[in-house]
Amino acid sequence: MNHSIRSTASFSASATPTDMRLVLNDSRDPAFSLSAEEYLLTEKTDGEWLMLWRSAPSVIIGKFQNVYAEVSLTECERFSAGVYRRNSGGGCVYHDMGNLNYTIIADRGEESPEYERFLSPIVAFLASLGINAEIRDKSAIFAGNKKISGNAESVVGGRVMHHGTLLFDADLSALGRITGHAREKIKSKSIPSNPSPVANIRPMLDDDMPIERFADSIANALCDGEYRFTADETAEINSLADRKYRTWEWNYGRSPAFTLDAGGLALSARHGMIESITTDGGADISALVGCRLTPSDVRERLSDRACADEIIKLIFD
Amino acid sequence: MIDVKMPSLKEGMESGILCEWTIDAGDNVKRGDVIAEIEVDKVINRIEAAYDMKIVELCAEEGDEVKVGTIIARAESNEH
Repeated sequence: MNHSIRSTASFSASATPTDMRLVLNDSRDPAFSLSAEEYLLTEKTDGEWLMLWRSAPSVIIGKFQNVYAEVSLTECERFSAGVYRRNSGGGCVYHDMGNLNYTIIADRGEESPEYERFLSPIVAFLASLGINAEIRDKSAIFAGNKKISGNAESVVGGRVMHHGTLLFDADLSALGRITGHAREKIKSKSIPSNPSPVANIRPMLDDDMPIERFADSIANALCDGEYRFTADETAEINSLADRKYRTWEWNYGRSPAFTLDAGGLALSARHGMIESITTDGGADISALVGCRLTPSDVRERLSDRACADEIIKLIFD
Repeated sequence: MIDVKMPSLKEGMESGILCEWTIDAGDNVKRGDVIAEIEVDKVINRIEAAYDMKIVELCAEEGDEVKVGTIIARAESNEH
Protein backbone atom coordinates (compact mmCIF):
# COMPACT_ATOMS: atom_id res chain seq x y z
CA MET A 1 0.00 0.00 0.00
CA ASN A 2 1.34 3.42 -0.93
CA HIS A 3 1.17 5.77 2.03
CA SER A 4 2.64 8.75 0.24
CA ILE A 5 -0.63 10.69 0.30
CA ARG A 6 -1.72 9.53 3.70
CA SER A 7 -3.59 12.33 5.40
CA THR A 8 -3.92 13.04 9.09
CA ALA A 9 -7.60 12.19 8.94
CA SER A 10 -8.89 9.74 11.50
CA PHE A 11 -12.29 8.41 12.40
CA SER A 12 -11.25 7.76 15.98
CA ALA A 13 -13.67 8.95 18.66
CA SER A 14 -10.80 9.20 21.14
CA ALA A 15 -7.96 11.67 21.27
CA THR A 16 -5.56 8.98 20.12
CA PRO A 17 -5.99 8.05 16.49
CA THR A 18 -6.48 4.34 15.93
CA ASP A 19 -4.99 2.55 12.95
CA MET A 20 -7.66 1.60 10.47
CA ARG A 21 -7.46 -1.61 8.48
CA LEU A 22 -8.78 -1.97 4.96
CA VAL A 23 -11.05 -4.98 4.54
CA LEU A 24 -10.57 -6.36 1.05
CA ASN A 25 -13.87 -7.29 -0.56
CA ASP A 26 -14.02 -8.03 -4.28
CA SER A 27 -17.58 -9.37 -4.21
CA ARG A 28 -20.10 -7.61 -6.43
CA ASP A 29 -22.98 -9.31 -4.64
CA PRO A 30 -24.71 -6.77 -2.36
CA ALA A 31 -26.04 -9.58 -0.18
CA PHE A 32 -22.48 -10.71 0.58
CA SER A 33 -21.29 -7.18 1.30
CA LEU A 34 -24.27 -6.32 3.52
CA SER A 35 -23.66 -9.56 5.38
CA ALA A 36 -19.96 -8.71 5.68
CA GLU A 37 -20.92 -5.38 7.24
CA GLU A 38 -23.02 -7.14 9.86
CA TYR A 39 -20.22 -9.63 10.49
CA LEU A 40 -17.70 -6.84 11.01
CA LEU A 41 -20.07 -4.95 13.31
CA THR A 42 -20.87 -7.89 15.54
CA GLU A 43 -17.68 -9.98 15.39
CA LYS A 44 -14.80 -7.47 15.06
CA THR A 45 -15.28 -5.96 18.47
CA ASP A 46 -12.19 -3.78 18.54
CA GLY A 47 -10.15 -1.67 16.17
CA GLU A 48 -11.27 0.38 13.21
CA TRP A 49 -12.15 -1.18 9.88
CA LEU A 50 -12.85 0.27 6.46
CA MET A 51 -14.45 -1.82 3.72
CA LEU A 52 -14.69 -0.42 0.20
CA TRP A 53 -17.04 -2.29 -2.08
CA ARG A 54 -19.05 -2.11 -5.25
CA SER A 55 -22.20 -3.82 -6.40
CA ALA A 56 -23.83 -5.08 -9.55
CA PRO A 57 -26.87 -2.88 -10.36
CA SER A 58 -29.14 -2.96 -7.33
CA VAL A 59 -31.27 -0.87 -5.03
CA ILE A 60 -30.60 -0.96 -1.30
CA ILE A 61 -33.44 0.12 0.98
CA GLY A 62 -33.28 1.23 4.61
CA LYS A 63 -34.02 -1.30 7.31
CA PHE A 64 -37.51 -0.03 8.02
CA GLN A 65 -38.58 1.05 4.58
CA ASN A 66 -41.48 -0.15 2.49
CA VAL A 67 -39.89 -1.27 -0.77
CA TYR A 68 -43.19 -0.80 -2.58
CA ALA A 69 -43.44 2.84 -1.50
CA GLU A 70 -39.90 3.79 -2.51
CA VAL A 71 -38.79 1.73 -5.47
CA SER A 72 -40.09 1.19 -8.99
CA LEU A 73 -39.93 -2.58 -9.22
CA THR A 74 -40.78 -2.55 -12.92
CA GLU A 75 -37.72 -0.37 -13.54
CA CYS A 76 -35.64 -2.70 -11.36
CA GLU A 77 -36.77 -5.50 -13.65
CA ARG A 78 -35.90 -3.48 -16.75
CA PHE A 79 -32.40 -2.66 -15.48
CA SER A 80 -31.90 -6.14 -13.96
CA ALA A 81 -31.34 -4.47 -10.61
CA GLY A 82 -31.68 -6.59 -7.48
CA VAL A 83 -33.47 -5.37 -4.35
CA TYR A 84 -31.81 -5.64 -0.95
CA ARG A 85 -32.57 -4.42 2.55
CA ARG A 86 -29.67 -3.15 4.64
CA ASN A 87 -29.16 -3.00 8.38
CA SER A 88 -29.13 0.76 8.83
CA GLY A 89 -31.74 3.48 8.71
CA GLY A 90 -32.64 6.06 6.13
CA GLY A 91 -33.78 5.88 2.54
CA CYS A 92 -33.11 3.85 -0.56
CA VAL A 93 -29.95 4.16 -2.63
CA TYR A 94 -28.92 2.90 -6.05
CA HIS A 95 -25.75 0.89 -6.57
CA ASP A 96 -23.85 -0.09 -9.67
CA MET A 97 -20.20 -0.53 -10.59
CA GLY A 98 -19.79 3.23 -10.89
CA ASN A 99 -20.74 3.73 -7.25
CA LEU A 100 -18.21 3.16 -4.46
CA ASN A 101 -19.55 2.14 -1.06
CA TYR A 102 -17.59 2.60 2.11
CA THR A 103 -18.29 0.98 5.45
CA ILE A 104 -16.54 1.99 8.66
CA ILE A 105 -16.72 -0.05 11.85
CA ALA A 106 -15.39 1.57 15.00
CA ASP A 107 -16.03 2.18 18.69
CA ARG A 108 -19.00 4.44 19.09
CA GLY A 109 -18.58 7.90 20.51
CA GLU A 110 -20.62 9.46 23.26
CA GLU A 111 -23.42 10.62 21.02
CA SER A 112 -25.36 9.29 18.08
CA PRO A 113 -25.36 9.93 15.19
CA GLU A 114 -21.73 10.65 14.42
CA TYR A 115 -21.93 11.88 10.86
CA GLU A 116 -19.50 14.74 11.38
CA ARG A 117 -16.88 12.35 12.73
CA PHE A 118 -17.10 9.99 9.78
CA LEU A 119 -17.85 12.40 6.96
CA SER A 120 -15.23 15.05 7.67
CA PRO A 121 -12.30 12.82 6.59
CA ILE A 122 -14.19 11.94 3.39
CA VAL A 123 -14.80 15.62 2.66
CA ALA A 124 -11.10 16.31 3.32
CA PHE A 125 -10.13 13.50 0.97
CA LEU A 126 -12.40 14.90 -1.76
CA ALA A 127 -10.82 18.33 -1.24
CA SER A 128 -7.42 16.76 -1.91
CA LEU A 129 -8.77 15.82 -5.34
CA GLY A 130 -9.97 19.34 -6.01
CA ILE A 131 -13.62 18.81 -5.09
CA ASN A 132 -15.24 21.43 -2.91
CA ALA A 133 -17.70 19.31 -0.96
CA GLU A 134 -19.57 19.83 2.29
CA ILE A 135 -21.76 17.97 4.77
CA ARG A 136 -25.40 18.88 4.37
CA ASP A 137 -28.77 17.58 5.54
CA LYS A 138 -26.96 16.03 8.56
CA SER A 139 -25.85 12.88 6.79
CA ALA A 140 -25.09 13.69 3.15
CA ILE A 141 -22.15 15.09 1.21
CA PHE A 142 -22.95 17.66 -1.44
CA ALA A 143 -20.79 19.24 -4.13
CA GLY A 144 -22.50 22.42 -5.21
CA ASN A 145 -26.19 21.69 -5.08
CA LYS A 146 -25.83 18.02 -5.95
CA LYS A 147 -25.67 15.13 -3.54
CA ILE A 148 -22.72 12.83 -4.12
CA SER A 149 -22.89 10.71 -0.96
CA GLY A 150 -25.69 9.41 1.25
CA ASN A 151 -24.94 7.91 4.64
CA ALA A 152 -26.54 5.99 7.49
CA GLU A 153 -25.50 4.19 10.67
CA SER A 154 -26.30 1.27 12.92
CA VAL A 155 -25.26 1.00 16.56
CA VAL A 156 -24.78 -2.29 18.40
CA GLY A 157 -23.48 -2.13 21.95
CA GLY A 158 -20.28 -0.12 22.00
CA ARG A 159 -19.71 -0.32 18.26
CA VAL A 160 -21.00 1.71 15.36
CA MET A 161 -21.24 0.91 11.68
CA HIS A 162 -21.25 3.94 9.43
CA HIS A 163 -21.68 3.44 5.71
CA GLY A 164 -22.24 5.56 2.66
CA THR A 165 -22.28 5.76 -1.09
CA LEU A 166 -19.93 7.74 -3.29
CA LEU A 167 -21.46 8.34 -6.71
CA PHE A 168 -18.37 8.27 -8.90
CA ASP A 169 -19.44 7.26 -12.38
CA ALA A 170 -22.84 5.71 -11.76
CA ASP A 171 -25.72 5.39 -14.21
CA LEU A 172 -27.74 8.36 -12.99
CA SER A 173 -30.49 7.61 -15.49
CA ALA A 174 -31.08 4.20 -13.93
CA LEU A 175 -30.81 5.74 -10.46
CA GLY A 176 -33.48 8.29 -11.31
CA ARG A 177 -35.84 5.77 -12.81
CA ILE A 178 -35.55 3.20 -10.01
CA THR A 179 -35.46 5.50 -6.97
CA GLY A 180 -36.32 9.02 -6.08
CA HIS A 181 -40.06 9.08 -6.63
CA ALA A 182 -42.02 8.24 -3.52
CA ARG A 183 -45.24 6.51 -4.44
CA GLU A 184 -47.82 8.56 -2.59
CA LYS A 185 -50.65 6.26 -3.54
CA ILE A 186 -49.24 3.79 -1.01
CA LYS A 187 -50.18 4.29 2.63
CA SER A 188 -48.03 2.67 5.29
CA LYS A 189 -46.06 3.41 8.43
CA SER A 190 -42.52 3.36 7.13
CA ILE A 191 -39.41 5.48 6.81
CA PRO A 192 -39.61 7.69 3.70
CA SER A 193 -36.65 8.43 1.46
CA ASN A 194 -35.51 12.01 1.05
CA PRO A 195 -34.46 12.29 -2.60
CA SER A 196 -32.10 15.05 -3.73
CA PRO A 197 -30.57 16.03 -7.06
CA VAL A 198 -27.46 13.89 -7.52
CA ALA A 199 -24.20 14.08 -9.44
CA ASN A 200 -21.17 11.93 -10.14
CA ILE A 201 -17.76 12.77 -8.71
CA ARG A 202 -15.67 11.83 -11.73
CA PRO A 203 -16.49 14.86 -13.90
CA MET A 204 -15.53 17.12 -10.97
CA LEU A 205 -11.99 15.76 -10.61
CA ASP A 206 -9.00 17.94 -11.41
CA ASP A 207 -7.29 14.85 -12.83
CA ASP A 208 -9.44 12.09 -14.28
CA MET A 209 -9.02 8.60 -12.87
CA PRO A 210 -10.90 5.30 -12.96
CA ILE A 211 -12.94 4.24 -9.94
CA GLU A 212 -10.33 1.64 -9.00
CA ARG A 213 -7.72 4.36 -8.50
CA PHE A 214 -10.24 6.52 -6.64
CA ALA A 215 -10.85 3.62 -4.24
CA ASP A 216 -7.11 2.99 -3.82
CA SER A 217 -6.60 6.66 -3.02
CA ILE A 218 -9.20 6.59 -0.25
CA ALA A 219 -7.65 3.46 1.20
CA ASN A 220 -4.18 4.99 1.09
CA ALA A 221 -5.42 8.16 2.75
CA LEU A 222 -7.23 6.45 5.60
CA CYS A 223 -5.84 2.96 6.22
CA ASP A 224 -2.65 1.53 7.66
CA GLY A 225 -3.05 -2.12 6.79
CA GLU A 226 -5.11 -4.66 4.88
CA TYR A 227 -7.26 -7.55 5.97
CA ARG A 228 -8.76 -10.35 3.92
CA PHE A 229 -11.54 -12.54 5.33
CA THR A 230 -10.41 -16.08 6.11
CA ALA A 231 -12.13 -18.99 4.37
CA ASP A 232 -14.09 -19.69 7.55
CA GLU A 233 -15.16 -16.05 7.82
CA THR A 234 -16.21 -15.98 4.17
CA ALA A 235 -18.29 -19.12 4.75
CA GLU A 236 -19.89 -17.53 7.82
CA ILE A 237 -20.67 -14.34 5.91
CA ASN A 238 -22.17 -16.31 3.05
CA SER A 239 -24.23 -18.35 5.51
CA LEU A 240 -25.62 -15.15 7.04
CA ALA A 241 -26.34 -13.80 3.55
CA ASP A 242 -28.23 -17.00 2.70
CA ARG A 243 -30.28 -16.76 5.89
CA LYS A 244 -30.97 -13.04 5.62
CA TYR A 245 -29.81 -10.81 2.80
CA ARG A 246 -30.62 -13.25 -0.01
CA THR A 247 -34.11 -14.03 1.25
CA TRP A 248 -37.46 -12.76 0.07
CA GLU A 249 -38.59 -12.49 3.68
CA TRP A 250 -35.89 -9.97 4.57
CA ASN A 251 -35.71 -7.91 1.38
CA TYR A 252 -39.41 -7.68 0.56
CA GLY A 253 -41.38 -9.38 3.34
CA ARG A 254 -40.26 -6.98 6.06
CA SER A 255 -42.03 -4.09 4.34
CA PRO A 256 -44.73 -2.76 6.68
CA ALA A 257 -48.35 -3.56 5.91
CA PHE A 258 -49.79 -1.10 3.42
CA THR A 259 -52.74 -0.19 1.26
CA LEU A 260 -52.67 1.04 -2.31
CA ASP A 261 -55.53 2.85 -3.99
CA ALA A 262 -55.02 4.01 -7.56
CA GLY A 263 -56.74 3.89 -10.91
CA GLY A 264 -59.72 1.98 -9.57
CA LEU A 265 -57.52 -0.68 -7.99
CA ALA A 266 -57.54 -1.20 -4.22
CA LEU A 267 -54.99 -3.48 -2.64
CA SER A 268 -53.86 -4.38 0.85
CA ALA A 269 -50.62 -6.19 1.54
CA ARG A 270 -48.73 -7.60 4.50
CA HIS A 271 -45.28 -9.18 4.58
CA GLY A 272 -44.93 -8.50 0.85
CA MET A 273 -47.99 -10.59 -0.02
CA ILE A 274 -51.35 -9.47 -1.38
CA GLU A 275 -54.07 -9.86 1.27
CA SER A 276 -56.92 -8.38 -0.76
CA ILE A 277 -57.31 -6.80 -4.17
CA THR A 278 -60.32 -5.43 -6.05
CA THR A 279 -60.97 -3.31 -9.11
CA ASP A 280 -63.76 -0.85 -9.85
CA GLY A 281 -64.14 -2.34 -13.29
CA GLY A 282 -65.32 -5.59 -11.86
CA ALA A 283 -62.52 -7.70 -13.29
CA ASP A 284 -62.03 -10.74 -11.10
CA ILE A 285 -58.39 -10.73 -10.09
CA SER A 286 -58.89 -12.62 -6.86
CA ALA A 287 -56.26 -15.07 -8.12
CA LEU A 288 -53.74 -12.50 -6.90
CA VAL A 289 -54.69 -12.97 -3.23
CA GLY A 290 -51.70 -14.60 -1.56
CA CYS A 291 -49.39 -13.64 -4.44
CA ARG A 292 -45.92 -12.33 -3.69
CA LEU A 293 -45.69 -8.71 -4.68
CA THR A 294 -43.24 -8.59 -7.56
CA PRO A 295 -43.97 -7.87 -11.20
CA SER A 296 -42.88 -11.35 -12.22
CA ASP A 297 -45.05 -13.10 -9.62
CA VAL A 298 -48.09 -11.01 -10.53
CA ARG A 299 -47.45 -11.57 -14.23
CA GLU A 300 -47.24 -15.30 -13.67
CA ARG A 301 -50.56 -15.38 -11.79
CA LEU A 302 -52.23 -13.31 -14.53
CA SER A 303 -50.46 -14.89 -17.47
CA ASP A 304 -53.61 -15.61 -19.40
CA ARG A 305 -55.27 -12.29 -18.69
CA ALA A 306 -55.31 -9.28 -21.01
CA CYS A 307 -55.34 -6.94 -18.00
CA ALA A 308 -51.97 -8.15 -16.63
CA ASP A 309 -49.85 -5.27 -17.91
CA GLU A 310 -52.34 -2.68 -16.67
CA ILE A 311 -52.55 -4.29 -13.21
CA ILE A 312 -48.75 -4.45 -12.95
CA LYS A 313 -48.46 -0.80 -13.93
CA LEU A 314 -51.01 0.23 -11.31
CA ILE A 315 -49.34 -1.74 -8.56
CA PHE A 316 -45.66 -1.13 -9.21
CA ASP A 317 -45.26 2.12 -11.19
CA MET B 1 -44.49 -1.40 37.68
CA ILE B 2 -41.64 -0.33 35.40
CA ASP B 3 -42.22 2.30 32.72
CA VAL B 4 -40.04 1.83 29.64
CA LYS B 5 -39.60 5.21 27.98
CA MET B 6 -38.32 6.45 24.64
CA PRO B 7 -34.68 7.24 25.45
CA SER B 8 -32.77 10.34 24.45
CA LEU B 9 -29.77 9.31 22.38
CA LYS B 10 -28.31 12.74 21.86
CA GLU B 11 -28.62 16.27 23.11
CA GLY B 12 -31.64 17.94 21.61
CA MET B 13 -33.30 14.73 20.43
CA GLU B 14 -37.06 15.25 20.44
CA SER B 15 -38.41 11.95 19.15
CA GLY B 16 -37.55 8.64 17.57
CA ILE B 17 -39.38 6.19 15.35
CA LEU B 18 -40.18 2.94 17.05
CA CYS B 19 -39.46 0.63 14.16
CA GLU B 20 -39.68 -2.82 15.67
CA TRP B 21 -40.63 -4.59 18.83
CA THR B 22 -38.42 -7.62 19.25
CA ILE B 23 -40.54 -8.90 22.14
CA ASP B 24 -44.27 -9.33 22.83
CA ALA B 25 -46.44 -8.50 25.81
CA GLY B 26 -46.16 -11.39 28.26
CA ASP B 27 -42.50 -12.10 27.48
CA ASN B 28 -39.93 -12.35 30.25
CA VAL B 29 -36.71 -10.57 29.37
CA LYS B 30 -33.29 -10.39 31.01
CA ARG B 31 -31.36 -7.21 31.67
CA GLY B 32 -29.53 -6.35 28.43
CA ASP B 33 -31.93 -8.17 26.12
CA VAL B 34 -32.89 -6.15 23.07
CA ILE B 35 -36.58 -5.27 23.30
CA ALA B 36 -36.98 -2.78 20.44
CA GLU B 37 -35.22 -0.94 17.66
CA ILE B 38 -35.62 2.75 17.02
CA GLU B 39 -34.48 4.95 14.16
CA VAL B 40 -33.25 8.49 14.66
CA ASP B 41 -31.55 10.49 11.89
CA LYS B 42 -30.96 7.34 9.80
CA VAL B 43 -29.32 5.54 12.73
CA ILE B 44 -30.69 2.23 13.98
CA ASN B 45 -30.38 1.92 17.76
CA ARG B 46 -31.33 -0.97 19.97
CA ILE B 47 -33.25 -0.47 23.20
CA GLU B 48 -32.13 -2.93 25.84
CA ALA B 49 -33.98 -4.04 28.96
CA ALA B 50 -32.64 -2.22 32.02
CA TYR B 51 -33.89 -4.93 34.38
CA ASP B 52 -34.98 -8.55 34.46
CA MET B 53 -38.67 -8.01 33.85
CA LYS B 54 -41.93 -9.29 32.39
CA ILE B 55 -43.39 -7.12 29.63
CA VAL B 56 -47.00 -6.35 30.53
CA GLU B 57 -48.07 -3.93 27.82
CA LEU B 58 -46.70 -2.40 24.63
CA CYS B 59 -47.86 1.22 24.52
CA ALA B 60 -46.59 2.19 21.05
CA GLU B 61 -47.00 0.61 17.66
CA GLU B 62 -44.27 -0.20 15.16
CA GLY B 63 -43.87 2.80 12.88
CA ASP B 64 -44.96 5.34 15.51
CA GLU B 65 -42.89 8.46 15.99
CA VAL B 66 -42.59 8.78 19.76
CA LYS B 67 -41.45 11.78 21.79
CA VAL B 68 -38.49 11.33 24.13
CA GLY B 69 -39.69 10.35 27.61
CA THR B 70 -42.99 8.90 26.41
CA ILE B 71 -43.85 5.53 27.90
CA ILE B 72 -43.55 2.87 25.19
CA ALA B 73 -44.03 -0.22 27.37
CA ARG B 74 -44.94 -1.27 30.89
CA ALA B 75 -43.34 -4.15 32.71
CA GLU B 76 -43.15 -5.92 36.08
CA SER B 77 -39.81 -6.45 37.74
CA ASN B 78 -38.46 -9.98 37.93
CA GLU B 79 -35.59 -8.87 40.15
CA HIS B 80 -35.67 -9.77 43.81
